[in-house]
Amino acid sequence: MNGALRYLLLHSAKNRLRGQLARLRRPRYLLAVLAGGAYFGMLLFNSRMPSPLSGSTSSALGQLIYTAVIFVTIASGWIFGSDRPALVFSEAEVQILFPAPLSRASLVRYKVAQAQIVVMFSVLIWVILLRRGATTLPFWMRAISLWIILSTLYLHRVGASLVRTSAASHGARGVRRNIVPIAIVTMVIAVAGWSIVRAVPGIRVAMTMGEGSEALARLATSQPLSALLYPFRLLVTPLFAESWRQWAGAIIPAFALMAAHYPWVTRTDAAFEEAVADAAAKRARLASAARGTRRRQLPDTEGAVPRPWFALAPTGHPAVAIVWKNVLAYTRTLRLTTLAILAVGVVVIGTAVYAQVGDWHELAAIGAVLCAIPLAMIVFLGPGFVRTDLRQDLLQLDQLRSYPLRGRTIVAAEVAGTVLILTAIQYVLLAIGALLASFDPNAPVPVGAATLIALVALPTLNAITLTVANGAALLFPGWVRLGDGRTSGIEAMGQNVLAIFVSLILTTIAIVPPFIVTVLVAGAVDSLTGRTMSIWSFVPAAPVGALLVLGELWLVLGWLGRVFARTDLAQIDPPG
Amino acid sequence: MIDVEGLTKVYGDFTAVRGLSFHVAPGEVLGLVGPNGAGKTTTLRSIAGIIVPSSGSIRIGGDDIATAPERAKARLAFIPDEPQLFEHLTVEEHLRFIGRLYGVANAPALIEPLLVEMELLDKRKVLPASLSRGMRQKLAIACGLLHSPSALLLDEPLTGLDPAGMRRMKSTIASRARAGVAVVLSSHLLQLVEELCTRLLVMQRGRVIALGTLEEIVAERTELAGRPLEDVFLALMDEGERTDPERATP
Repeated sequence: MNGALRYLLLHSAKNRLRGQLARLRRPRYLLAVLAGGAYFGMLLFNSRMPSPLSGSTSSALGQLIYTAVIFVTIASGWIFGSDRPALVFSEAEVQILFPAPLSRASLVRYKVAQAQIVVMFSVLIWVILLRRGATTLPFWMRAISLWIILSTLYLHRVGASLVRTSAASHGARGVRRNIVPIAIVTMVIAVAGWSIVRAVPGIRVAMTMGEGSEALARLATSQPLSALLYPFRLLVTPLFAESWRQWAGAIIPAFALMAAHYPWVTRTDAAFEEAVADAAAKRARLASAARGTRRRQLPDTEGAVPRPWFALAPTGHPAVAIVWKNVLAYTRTLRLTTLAILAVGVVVIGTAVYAQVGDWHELAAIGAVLCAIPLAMIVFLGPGFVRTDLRQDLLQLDQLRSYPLRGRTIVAAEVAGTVLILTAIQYVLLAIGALLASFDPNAPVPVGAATLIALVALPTLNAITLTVANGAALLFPGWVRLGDGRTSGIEAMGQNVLAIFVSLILTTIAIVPPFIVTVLVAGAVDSLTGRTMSIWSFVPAAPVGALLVLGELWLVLGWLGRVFARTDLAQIDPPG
Repeated sequence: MIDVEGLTKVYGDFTAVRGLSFHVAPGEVLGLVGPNGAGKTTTLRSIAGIIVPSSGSIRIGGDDIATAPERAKARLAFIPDEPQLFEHLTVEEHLRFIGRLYGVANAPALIEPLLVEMELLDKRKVLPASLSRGMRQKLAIACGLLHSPSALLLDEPLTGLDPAGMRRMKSTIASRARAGVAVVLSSHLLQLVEELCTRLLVMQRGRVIALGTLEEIVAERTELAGRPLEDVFLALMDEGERTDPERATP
């Protein structure tokens, strides 16, 4: 790497670390670090302490799941990825490095090297969360295995985004120039999709006999899927090695695969500068607005602005204006292309599965399960994706604080907007899932009761997870990424997993007392109606639990409102 | 309309504002002047309820910003030097949003005349990313004026405006003051201050160096009689340096 860039990288990292350490002078940050450190320390050194992911790297099924996750991550990057490069440059980097006599490749190499800091942090978190499982591999071997996986995924994501950028910016010529990677990826995704669809009836039958994992393993070892998944398996094999000899044999091909990505990425011809500069200017504008510093003007992007999905009445509770603003902001960040691809994908896959199973009831049952999975995932992953709340608006703290509203009201309105968005998405999935499940005569639970409970439980859970996410931004603005962009990419997965993990712990704590009360109320209903733990008894019990959660949240929001009123502008310094 | 009594703001070891007291009556325009780091923006942000003073009290129309913040804030508008706009709301939607927030029932009827006044009518359907620096500033000012505040806090209001925009902005400020709005205006542009302000508050390192009309300030310092405001300002800074107890050498 260029000497100046190396200097910039090292000194920026050093100063950033110094800044992070300086934050520990604030008791709030220090306490969080001590609590987190104590927990993760126990997780790492106390083998009896349960870890959410330990053991997941100890079985053939685990290996299959890791391989599948990596495959899906890479495939979704190609299908749904943005036409902007995954390389993120700051405004200062754009202004100083882009006009400097540096090659495009050296800029990419600089960014790849810079990303290693995040990769290393993610490796550390993953090593702790995964722990030993059933293998005897020492800490450093697992760390190297994870480093190779995460670095390869990062390089692949950057490479894929550069191919997309090149294709998008050069039109047909760009597609022709990148025809080899595009053709390979298209073929791999198409063949994998066809293999999976073809295997669906067999897997369904195996699942009813309790042999689902064996059926999945057979699918992964069947041709041509096995051949297609080979590079992905290559990458995860070292993590599953049971001896150092096995690890040494597996690590070399995995390393070679990672190394092969490097020249592909650094020898890019994608003219990413303009797209990168626009994104950097946007981030800088938001950040400088928060700090009250000057900014340069964005290039003109005037165009048709989508109409709001609903109008804001001029009178009524003022907090509704904040909810409206946030919902509007989300609808305007939605990528219709992604929705269109998803819709086409659902139709194509549905048709293909129907061709295989030939039974509407079976298809409906599969569809209901496919709706239930994202519905549940949204509860914990949704807050990471929909961020049009305090995590975005804290950069405009001056503006928020000048409004004639109490701190609690502003925080509650910010949370409510995102709760509304996530709940709306879940309700759509719930409606489709319930409709499909109603055609399944073998549904495991009464569809009506489950739907009624979900109608109450989903917004309640969303309210908890989003209060946690917004509370984290308010209490630790130096640690939470503020503004439009979320910490994305597989290399930042450790940070995101950490956020989900903390949210999971706090949500569990918040939900335990209301859950106990809900079960007690359901038990009382059971005894009144003469049933035994009927799911229908939870229908009247669920609102009672939801009310208790609302009571908890009312107290928490009051506290966060007071924090909001005291938050110092100097703290709103987004992490770089 | 605006009563500030003993306002002090301390950040760790650093005192940004020291015991500041002043009053702004309806129709009055108070010019807040001072060098960089004098505490002007901290003062404005404290009055706007954005930052909490370390001590002292601030009242807007009789309502204390600390004990009745909602009522006090409903009466004022703060327009910062760097306009903070929501990236996903159009110009018109910003005004609708503010109208609802401040309970302006007739906001739909007020929006168009305000957009005309700010020369933003043809940009009403546009997102802030497409606006120039000056247009963003105008939109921020329009948002501040929509609810007809009784107190107006302006931090460097002419930043980014072209000459025509500056003239229009000065006319807007003057007309609001004539309508009975109490205005506090912070600016480095001494000509603007001289032209618009009825009184001056000169600050240096968080403390008041001078407070009163230009004539009153000069009358206390006969050597400055007949000198332009720039000379008066620099002389006051020198005086402040000499009399600052924090800088006094033992």
